[in-house]
Amino acid sequence: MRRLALFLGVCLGAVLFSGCVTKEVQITLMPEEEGKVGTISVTDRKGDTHTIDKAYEALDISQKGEITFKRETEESVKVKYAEVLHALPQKPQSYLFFFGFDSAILETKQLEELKIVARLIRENKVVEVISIGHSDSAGDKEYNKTLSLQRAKNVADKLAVYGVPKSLMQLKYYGDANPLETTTSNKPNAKNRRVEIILK
Amino acid sequence: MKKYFASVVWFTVTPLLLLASPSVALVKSVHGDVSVTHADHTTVSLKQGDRIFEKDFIKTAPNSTIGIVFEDNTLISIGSNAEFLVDEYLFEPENKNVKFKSNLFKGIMACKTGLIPKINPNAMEIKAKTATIGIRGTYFVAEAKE
Repeated sequence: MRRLALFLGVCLGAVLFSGCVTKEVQITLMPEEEGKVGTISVTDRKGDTHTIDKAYEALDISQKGEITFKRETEESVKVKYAEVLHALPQKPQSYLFFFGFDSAILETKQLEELKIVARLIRENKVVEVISIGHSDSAGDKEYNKTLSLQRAKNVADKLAVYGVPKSLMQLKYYGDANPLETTTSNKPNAKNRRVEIILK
Repeated sequence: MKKYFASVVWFTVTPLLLLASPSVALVKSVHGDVSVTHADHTTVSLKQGDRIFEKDFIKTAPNSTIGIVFEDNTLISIGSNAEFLVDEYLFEPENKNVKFKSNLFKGIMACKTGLIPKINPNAMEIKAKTATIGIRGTYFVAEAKE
């Protein structure tokens, strides 16, 4: 009799315990700043695909793979997911600096702008700064690579002068391989003679 | 003999691959206690500016969060008491070779997608418990409840 009670107890415990660990997943779509919303799809065990594509729509997926539609609101999401929404990093920022023909020299006005970028780097706890040099397609390809590196280097050196730790900085250079404006080869183009600084 | 050869290749090639593997993301912010276990089973605590690699297993303590910026500009935050694995990450935009598969074992994550789903709408996937979630962008929260 005692054994039976123990057995029943164990069974009950098992049922209660499994009830406690019912695991499920919820996925909720959020609107972007510009009001755009993406698409998320989940395939259940029967092979049916469930898709959500409007802000605050959500899918609940049970441990058994059953999917139910759910609607959250701006307020409910803000409360439930405050921690992760707050911890989400900002998008990397990028800034462009343009150069004269066959030149890697920064003008006085650009130096002032670089001082502002250096301040942004310090204030926003930036963890990586990438200085990427580009050239237009006029002239020799190898020469243009070296020129684009020199541009990237000059920008990084100035940032270092303005207090950005060198350990944060990375140099990249592409010559004429990544133009902003596609041109025929061997063509001077002011928009392609540039350095892009990316702040992460 | 064949087996012997295979193990020699394995031991010589693996460390080289590990050395060559580039980082896939940067740690932008850490609050509280967050640790990472790398593919070689070493575990260290994470701080701002650290790098994340493929196969990194990230674990957050109570009241702890982490914010991560991936190479393709995917932004991810992970909340308290969570476990997250960067299972596969490939970003070679020049030949449209992209892939991002991750696994949320428990906890909550928020994500704003970057270039990967724009380049290939089928390249991004998150596994959470029994669910495999296809991500075509752009901003979402996933929660693996216990």
